Amino acid sequence: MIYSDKPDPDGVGDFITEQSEEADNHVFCRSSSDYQEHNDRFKFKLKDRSFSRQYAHLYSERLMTMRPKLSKAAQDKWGLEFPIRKLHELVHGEKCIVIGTLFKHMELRPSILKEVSEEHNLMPQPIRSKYTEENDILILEDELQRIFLIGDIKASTSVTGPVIAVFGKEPENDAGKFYVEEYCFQHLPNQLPRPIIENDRYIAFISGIEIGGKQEKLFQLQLFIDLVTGQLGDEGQQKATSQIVRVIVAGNSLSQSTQDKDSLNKAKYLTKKTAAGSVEAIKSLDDVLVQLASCVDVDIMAGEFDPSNHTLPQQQLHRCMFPQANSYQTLHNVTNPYDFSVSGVRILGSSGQPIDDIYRYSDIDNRLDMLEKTLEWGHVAPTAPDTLGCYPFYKEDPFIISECPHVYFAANQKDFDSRIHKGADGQEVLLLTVPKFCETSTCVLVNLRNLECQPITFDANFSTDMSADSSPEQDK
Amino acid sequence: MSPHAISRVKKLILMIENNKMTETSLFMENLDEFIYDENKIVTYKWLSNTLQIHVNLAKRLLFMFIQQERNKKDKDGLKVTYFVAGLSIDSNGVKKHLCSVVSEKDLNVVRSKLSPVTSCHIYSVHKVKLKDTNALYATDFEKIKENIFSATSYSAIKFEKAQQRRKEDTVKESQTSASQAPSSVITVKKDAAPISSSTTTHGNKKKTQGKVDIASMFSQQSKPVKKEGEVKKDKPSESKTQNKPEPKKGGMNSFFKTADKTSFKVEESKVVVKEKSPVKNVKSPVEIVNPAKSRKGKLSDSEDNRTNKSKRRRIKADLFDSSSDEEMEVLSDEEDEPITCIETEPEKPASPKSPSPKKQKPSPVSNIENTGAAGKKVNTGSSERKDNTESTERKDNTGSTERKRKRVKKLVAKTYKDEDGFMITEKVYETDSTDASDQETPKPPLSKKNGTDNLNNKNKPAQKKKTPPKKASPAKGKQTSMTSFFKKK
Repeated sequence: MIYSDKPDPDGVGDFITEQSEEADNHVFCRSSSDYQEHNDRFKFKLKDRSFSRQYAHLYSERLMTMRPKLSKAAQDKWGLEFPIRKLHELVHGEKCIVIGTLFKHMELRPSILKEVSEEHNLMPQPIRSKYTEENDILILEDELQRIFLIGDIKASTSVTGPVIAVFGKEPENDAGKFYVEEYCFQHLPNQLPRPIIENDRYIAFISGIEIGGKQEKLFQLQLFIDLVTGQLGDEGQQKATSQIVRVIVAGNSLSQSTQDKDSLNKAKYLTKKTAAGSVEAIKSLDDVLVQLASCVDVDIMAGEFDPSNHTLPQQQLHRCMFPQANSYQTLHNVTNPYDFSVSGVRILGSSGQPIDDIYRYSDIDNRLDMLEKTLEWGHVAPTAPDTLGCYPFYKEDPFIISECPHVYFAANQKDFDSRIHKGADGQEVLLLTVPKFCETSTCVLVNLRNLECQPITFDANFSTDMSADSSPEQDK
Repeated sequence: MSPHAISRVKKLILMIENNKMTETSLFMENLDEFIYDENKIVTYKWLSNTLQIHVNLAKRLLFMFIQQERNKKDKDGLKVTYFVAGLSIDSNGVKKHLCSVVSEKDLNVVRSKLSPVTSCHIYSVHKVKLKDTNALYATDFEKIKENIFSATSYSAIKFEKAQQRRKEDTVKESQTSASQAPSSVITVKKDAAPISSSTTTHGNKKKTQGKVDIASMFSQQSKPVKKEGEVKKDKPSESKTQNKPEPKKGGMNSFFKTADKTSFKVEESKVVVKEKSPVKNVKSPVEIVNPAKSRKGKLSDSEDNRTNKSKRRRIKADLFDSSSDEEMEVLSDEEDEPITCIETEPEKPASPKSPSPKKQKPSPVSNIENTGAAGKKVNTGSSERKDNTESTERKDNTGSTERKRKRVKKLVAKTYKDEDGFMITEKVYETDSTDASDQETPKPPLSKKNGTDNLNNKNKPAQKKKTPPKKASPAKGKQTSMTSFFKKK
């Protein structure tokens, strides 16, 4: 078990010792695994897309789908004696439960209306890293009305979008406000028990390769490829690496700088022969993927800077972009967010945009906490479509978490972090943030047998000491 | 046999030849040459690829070489880098697996920080001292690029499922996605005038615009055209696509009688026909519904279809830059059929009915990929060019089918939306027919048939003016002559 907290390697340093009798050409077979995709709700036929719908449908779908779950959770928590009222049926002074969508009113939130408004003559709002301030107000909206929420609920740690059940009353002297005593979200949905896997099986997560950017770490990326394909390492390590069954490239494989749109503003005759920055970068990415695909199943997700649609759910990167890698059947282009199961372990995650958006609109600091919150709220991307671009769904909201995953990840984060979240019904979810490779040169291995994570960092440093040094004595 | 197997066999043979050390010493000599004579930076991966041996054997060889040099020959001056991996605890207390490439003198320092060490072997040997990893990366990268598909064939891990798709599979895949009719044909011309008289003899996939109804003819055409003139075709995909055109075929047959003869002549010259083209032909005209279009349109379509089919492959890289060339080259390695890409092909409507030049195009897959990938990105460029070419595309609408048509080939970029909603741009040659009775029009195509697109564009305006039904053409003609100045050559 080399990739664990307590590795017990063997054969270390074989290749720097005298030759043994065995030939040096062991070939290990990569373990196989069952794979199932559950992405159908995130995919849509491009020709069926219609952007002429309003987003109100998405919100009403969300509310309609989650209302029964929330009423069950509310009754479980506060008992049956308190009625569940809709806002228009509220009775002053009566303690009751109300279910609705949370809305956080923020003054600093960029609003297109303010920008366009001529009366105000305002300068466009500057881009900030956080748009929250102390005066943010929470509002509860249900199908017909909305009401201010005051009391025991903190605006700073909430965002717009999750469906919530609040328990409290509308005070008689202060109509229009609901005084919250307690609140709750849906129960974590049921989780299918994880099957018992006997051997170690690993899934490697890597994100934020950002090819084409200044920070691209090509040598370390090549080290990663060499490790996963079994070229680097002594035999014991190669054997352990053959147990990596899948590699997930979780977004931002291209850098933001490849998205440069300056050429659109220039005159056509100046830019006729210039190709977009992403063309070269995609070719490099194809070279990377073809090496990986020749040896392991690879799933590539789109990210914020990748050539896919901007709104969530991002569709698969088109297979024509990877002509070499696509000649292997092991390359899979998948959506963002990505929902799949390997050997019975259900994994759900995104390329990080929902978490980044929550960071902008709330005061929660720890990315893993944000991830945990989204799990509690039962929604992968609660701020969509308010501040996060989203497709105007009509029939269903695909981001609602209706089956509890075993692994829940968010990629392109600053650091590696992981935690096991225990649900009320005995569910165990591994929360995982995958760091950006361009900044940390780190990928993450998740062991499907016991949900342990291990980061692997690739490093290369040569000291610049130019003094002549004699090579060490070797068995002289 | 896989390279791995080959090296095994090599070893066996050598052992049979009674000297197990011969091969190793051969390798050592090679190493000596690489390092000392050629002053190369020899990484284990580079060595394994060059000598076609297992990576672990390469690591062993490097070690043996170092030992040999240092102990036996007492030579020094070799710099060595090591790969070392192990568990380390970083500042946050997180246990992480560190994989590091270090120079020899740092080796012990780094090793001491890892507990336990899971790997340690030589990464590279060279005479020069390295300041950073760029040189290491570069040598490996160059080697990989030489043959990207065998980059990992000497590794220690094999995966049976990682098989390369056969060409038919990829073609089929792209076909199924391409086969549904695109939702729209992007056409510059809004001309709704009958296209009837326009014929394109050579393989052009789609006619843009004016040939709205002709496009619909294409779809029906595709069957007869397909049947004839196919020289090399992937059978499975062929049969697949043939099923689709099948239904329409029968109905249109009657229309094609007169056209058949002419098109047959053209047929002979076709060398390769791609299934895709008929399929695409089916697709493009989908929404064009103009029952008023005369038979002429249909006839011309049939001819067009046939020529389209053969020509269809001709996605030209001359408008696209080298990136598409690269892709085409890569894919052409896998092509069954010989590909003779004629790189800078100016339009050659040699004679109105002369056989089309024998051109082949890389597979439809590469076609799609080319255009799909490049099309999206250079879409502005290509659509602009398309505007130029399309606007200059001409359709004669003079009514009579009895007139002889002279066919002029023009390079046209067709952009359309495929089933998935992706826009695909393809460059195809289309033939334009000019009326023989038209004095002026035949001359420009004849005289300028070997000219470039610009010239052809100018032809078209001239020709267009002769075609009254096309009201918009004169104006467009002027525009094209202006914008043709900016056209890419």
